[in-house]
Amino acid sequence: MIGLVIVSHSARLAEGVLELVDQMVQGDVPIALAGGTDIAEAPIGTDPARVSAAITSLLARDNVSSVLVLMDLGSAMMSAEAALDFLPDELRARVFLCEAPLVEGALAAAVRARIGGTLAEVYTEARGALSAKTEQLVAWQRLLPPPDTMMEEIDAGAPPGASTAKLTIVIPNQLGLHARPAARLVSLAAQFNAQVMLTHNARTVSATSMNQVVTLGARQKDVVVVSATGEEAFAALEAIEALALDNFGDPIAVTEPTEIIAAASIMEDGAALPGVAASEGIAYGPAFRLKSVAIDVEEHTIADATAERRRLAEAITAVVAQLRILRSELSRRAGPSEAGIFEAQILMIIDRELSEAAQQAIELRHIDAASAWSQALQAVVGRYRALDDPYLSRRADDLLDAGQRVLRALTGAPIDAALFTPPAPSILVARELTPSDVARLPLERVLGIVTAEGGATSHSAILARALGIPAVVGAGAIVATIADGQQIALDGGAGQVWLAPDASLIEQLDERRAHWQAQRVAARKGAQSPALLRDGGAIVVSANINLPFDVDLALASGAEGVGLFRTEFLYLDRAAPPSEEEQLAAYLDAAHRLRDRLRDRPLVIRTLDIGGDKMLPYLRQPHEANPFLGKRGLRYCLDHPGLFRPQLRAILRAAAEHSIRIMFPMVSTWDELVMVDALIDEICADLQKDGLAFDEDIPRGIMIETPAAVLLADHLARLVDFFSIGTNDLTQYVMAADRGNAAVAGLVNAYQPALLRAIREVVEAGHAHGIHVGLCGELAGDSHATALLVGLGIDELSMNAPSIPAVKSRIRRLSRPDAQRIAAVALEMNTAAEVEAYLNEVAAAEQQQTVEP
Amino acid sequence: MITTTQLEAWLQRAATLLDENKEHLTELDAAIGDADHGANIARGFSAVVQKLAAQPGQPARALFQTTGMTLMSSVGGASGMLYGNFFLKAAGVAGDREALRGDELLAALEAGRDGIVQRGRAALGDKTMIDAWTPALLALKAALAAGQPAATAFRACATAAEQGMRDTLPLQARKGRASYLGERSVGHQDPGATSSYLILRALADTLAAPSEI
Repeated sequence: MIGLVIVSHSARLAEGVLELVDQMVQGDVPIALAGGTDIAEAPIGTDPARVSAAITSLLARDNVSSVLVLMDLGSAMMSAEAALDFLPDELRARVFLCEAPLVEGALAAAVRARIGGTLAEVYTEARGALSAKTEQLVAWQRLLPPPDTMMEEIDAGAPPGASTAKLTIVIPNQLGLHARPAARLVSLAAQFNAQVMLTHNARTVSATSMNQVVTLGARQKDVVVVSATGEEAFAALEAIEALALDNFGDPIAVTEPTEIIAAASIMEDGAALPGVAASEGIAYGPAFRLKSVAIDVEEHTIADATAERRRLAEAITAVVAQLRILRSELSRRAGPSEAGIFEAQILMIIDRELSEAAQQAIELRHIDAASAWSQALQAVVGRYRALDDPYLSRRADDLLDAGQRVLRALTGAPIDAALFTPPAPSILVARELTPSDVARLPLERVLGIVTAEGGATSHSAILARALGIPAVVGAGAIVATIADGQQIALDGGAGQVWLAPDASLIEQLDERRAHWQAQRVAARKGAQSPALLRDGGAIVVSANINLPFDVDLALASGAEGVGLFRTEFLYLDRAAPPSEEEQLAAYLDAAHRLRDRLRDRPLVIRTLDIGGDKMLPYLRQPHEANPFLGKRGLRYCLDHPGLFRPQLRAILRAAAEHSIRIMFPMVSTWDELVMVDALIDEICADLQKDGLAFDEDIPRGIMIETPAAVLLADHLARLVDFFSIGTNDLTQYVMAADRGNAAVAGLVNAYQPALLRAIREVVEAGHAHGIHVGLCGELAGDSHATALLVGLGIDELSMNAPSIPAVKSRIRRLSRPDAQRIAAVALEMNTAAEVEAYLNEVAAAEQQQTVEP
Repeated sequence: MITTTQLEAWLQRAATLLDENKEHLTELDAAIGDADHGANIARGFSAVVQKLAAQPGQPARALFQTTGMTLMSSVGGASGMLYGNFFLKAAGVAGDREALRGDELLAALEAGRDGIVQRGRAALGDKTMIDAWTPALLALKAALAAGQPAATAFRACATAAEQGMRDTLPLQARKGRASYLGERSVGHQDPGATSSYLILRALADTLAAPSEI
């Protein structure tokens, strides 16, 4: 027979459970108790020795084959585990710990044991004990109006000073409470010390769960009741009301997404397939189908559930970090509003409901993290898909996209770059583009985009417009019949796709395309010539890039070099850091692309800048309370020579034959530079020994992004060959304002007078020592700031490619004395708003006076 | 080398520090737990000191085993199980040595920390002892790797533990009794991380004192 051990903090509770059980089984089931402790001052507690004694006493009986241990909470579980550790192997094999709730589990187990169940049967019965209770109570509660009762309950149990408040809102958003407004609501609700719930159509969910909020399926004009309990209940509701009045941060007028799902009928040759006109322009060429990257997971049992759970938690953290990087990246390429989708994706995957389901599966079923995550993910995706609002149900794809990243982080499944890189310039064909897809597309090879799904407000459409790529979206299921390499054509302005364009059509399209291209060429005209000031001086205008192929777009936009190669992207989306050889190949690739057209323009490679909000899945970066003030950039790399050395070796080797400069991020002390120099010397000696070519005199520079570096600029200038001011981080550190915190967003403004003074200091210190001073933050690409920056004496502006033409044309209209006058006036101003207004005024006046040469 | 005499002195020093901070620990625990951590842990370590006094001069394995078993039976709460498992696991790695090099003690402490994780299933950031142990052992490892003497390295270890302890303040508890408080656990320092820091500070204090060797 199966014996039961009851472990409880309280000896009386254990006896009480025995009393209840015995009522049912009349002493027929062997039961031993391990309640309380031997400690006189602390009788409430558990003792592994008692548990162990209880187990052995039962196993010693002839009629007991195995023992099931039931326990209450906390140390009871640990004591039970410890007791198992103490048992000899042959006894341990006859004992099993059961996670069922103590009272229900003990009753069910005893009843089953009495009629002669096996250990597995008794265990299963005990585990099932809660489901009867759940079924009864949950089913009954569904009949009640949930929010009021829930709130009263919470109120009764809330600490003094807590209170409940309610608010009724009518969803103003045209698309309902979709991903972005929901993300804003979830982030806001989480900021208050209050429990905030939303009720819609008799369903009540936590306002801090992204997936629950979106799957409420609240549409425009629907009524949602917001209730909050806790100290800051009223403040929370006030803030939520304000957000609702602000249309949840969405623009008021959104074009209603057009849903055109064409029947998959056979189109006549030459007939135009109608779709949604998403982005103007004509394109024709071979189709390139975007393969969906399904990741296969095979469920298997794992031994160490703790380690597996940690792996999952780390993978999620790492993916959140990746998404943050993509968010800031996309916000530069296409503007902050589109990048908001990443924020929504972050909230979707950190949703406790989802992660806890997966964690629980690991713990209870001992299955691998990837399978547990995949199953939990599919369940929530299913809920999204079941929403009858087509716009909201499409958010399933966003969740799936982010969820796949977690799977990739867990399985180490690489992204096959070939799946995303068309062999030749092509028209991209996909069901719908996910944010991640777009973020990694080599845009210079995308002639146009055709998608089966999506409306004018889909990501694909917005991105295509932002990037100037002709696109037709929502062209229907027939898109699935397009083969790789099939010649197709599209007119993004008219919303038409031709699956088999004939010669006369192409001729016609050619004419229209020539006209369209002439316009685009005119827009880029002048971008290729150097940016000379009216009085002759030149300002170097270069590009910031993430991956080698970005060089092509940069050069096409008129970049005179690369002022910032952010190497973080080489480290993303993979299971281990890139090897020295891989990095060398990437740096050489970028250098070759640059050298092909601009023989001696430099490539500035910035060493890995992680930490802060950027994490990598395969590095065990310790949790930091304040990561932006923690181990990031050079600080992290100096601490991890195993990670840093391969990168330094690759850069030094690539520099052997190319005009490559090296730049270090997040410098704040002299010592750091001394250490880096020593490390480079060591590496040079190693490379020499290895017989490899390298450049030991590689120009070395630093990012100026900490106040310490500004204040020490005159000293640091003696150790390096150039400075590059990183205004994004410098602004946040000078202003002591987190750039991710909306509450202090007004402070994180590069026009702040404090920042302008910092820039002036750095330029003066750099020039006093004869070194080059560049600026590579977002401010560099802001054409309104160009006059100011030139006036402050900046030698080089490095920016994202799309900003280059405007900044160059701005420089050509300036003379140095004019710029210096503008800077002098701006430096005297007291507020960022005054500076901004003044620069706008200057720009407007200049527009009227000057005619571009 | 760190002798077993020094290890005994460590545990005595830990008992003293925990006793001196008993009220403080209990106050911390009162905010987010069941207000028994201070009394429990002080009682446990004082029992350890008594046990060790009765059997002086044991090699490292036996020393740690006695400590672990005593903590398990005399603390009563989960912390007894966690620290108990810590010393049992550390005992296995420390072996029957009479003296340990810094890196050998580090390995024992790491095994102990893994014992806490094994028993408590806590991850970094769950607002538990692990938030003190993990940064502390990373700092210790780095300091030893940089060739620093034991006194300096273990001081760095204690300093990192202290920082880790303070860093639990803004975290939301995900393990133990405090996790039932959910968001209300934010803003309180974790008592377990605090006692862990005190234990590591005791080690640094002991190794800083002039030793017999």
